Amino acid sequence: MNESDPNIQKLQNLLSCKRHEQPPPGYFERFPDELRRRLEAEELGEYSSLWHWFVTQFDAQPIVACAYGVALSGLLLAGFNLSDVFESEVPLAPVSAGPWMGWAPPAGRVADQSAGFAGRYQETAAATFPAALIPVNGIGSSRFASPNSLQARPALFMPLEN
Amino acid sequence: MMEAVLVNPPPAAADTPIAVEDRVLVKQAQRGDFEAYDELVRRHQERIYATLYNMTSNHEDAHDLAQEAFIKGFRALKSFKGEASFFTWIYRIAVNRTINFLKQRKRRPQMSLNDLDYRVEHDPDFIALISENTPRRDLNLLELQEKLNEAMQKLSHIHRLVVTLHDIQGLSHDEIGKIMDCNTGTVRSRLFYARQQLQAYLSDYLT
Repeated sequence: MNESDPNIQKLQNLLSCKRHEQPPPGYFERFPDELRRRLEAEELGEYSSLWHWFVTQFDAQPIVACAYGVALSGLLLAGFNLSDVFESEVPLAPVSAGPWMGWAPPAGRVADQSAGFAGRYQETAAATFPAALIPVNGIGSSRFASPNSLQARPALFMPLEN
Repeated sequence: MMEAVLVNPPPAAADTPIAVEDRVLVKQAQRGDFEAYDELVRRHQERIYATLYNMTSNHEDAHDLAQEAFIKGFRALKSFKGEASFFTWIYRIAVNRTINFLKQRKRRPQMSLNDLDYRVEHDPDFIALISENTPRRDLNLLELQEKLNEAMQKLSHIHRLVVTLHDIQGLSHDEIGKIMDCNTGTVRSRLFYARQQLQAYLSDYLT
């Protein structure tokens, strides 16, 4: 289509009227300030929370995320090792005497340290379950005893064989 | 010609003083100088806004899209290598965003600008148009504005964009090709088709 075509010229003249459509007065004076405020607000909003800042750092620098991951894994491994050391130094076992449930050093250890009351006794297998429910008629008399026929018995201690 | 053209300086071609100044401002803005970006916004806001307004026929939409384009431009400034002029680059951002917006936008009542520039009544082209070439001598300015907007909105987004950039903004085929990422032949054919359609829609005002 030739630009010098009179019909095209008329159309262009008509369309050129649209150049006169203007936004409200003062709009272009306010626009840059409004844009700046919006940019500043968005930047502030981006770091509004510590967590958001933290995540943003990861997004921006994957190497930081990697470093955090390695450090966290190291801390976890160190924690596991420490807990193993602690357990080997202070071994714990269930309390086997008395109606309460608690924890105490194992019997052998107590026996080794024994000087007096504790050293004179040795736990038997029955003592491991001091308040176990044992059939009244004796173990093995019935494998399907009714609940009413069960009762608690006190722990059984036997003197150590010297 | 028209004062509106003087208000909106011509687009910055690659080596014009404006483009060179733009490059300096871009370098400063890339180093974090917000004042420099502010100056870039002041330089190009009118043309960007006008293009977006002619694409949407809605002041609020044009305002939001212009702001989004400049914000996106600011955030992407570090990736700007200077292969094209800043003007072309920011125009491309604005136009792509607007086309996406128009694809998503449902039909909504268009709200034209109420403020027609008072200079239009003294515009020789306009006077000639309504007093000599147009039989509708009682043509109302606002009515003409509405008819033009209606006709523009009947065009596809791409054809509307070509007409806006060429016949309203006065950009060259080459510059439009850079903005739309196509060759000048495509620009010319799209312009040809768009004008044909507009001539049909606006036949009452062109006889």
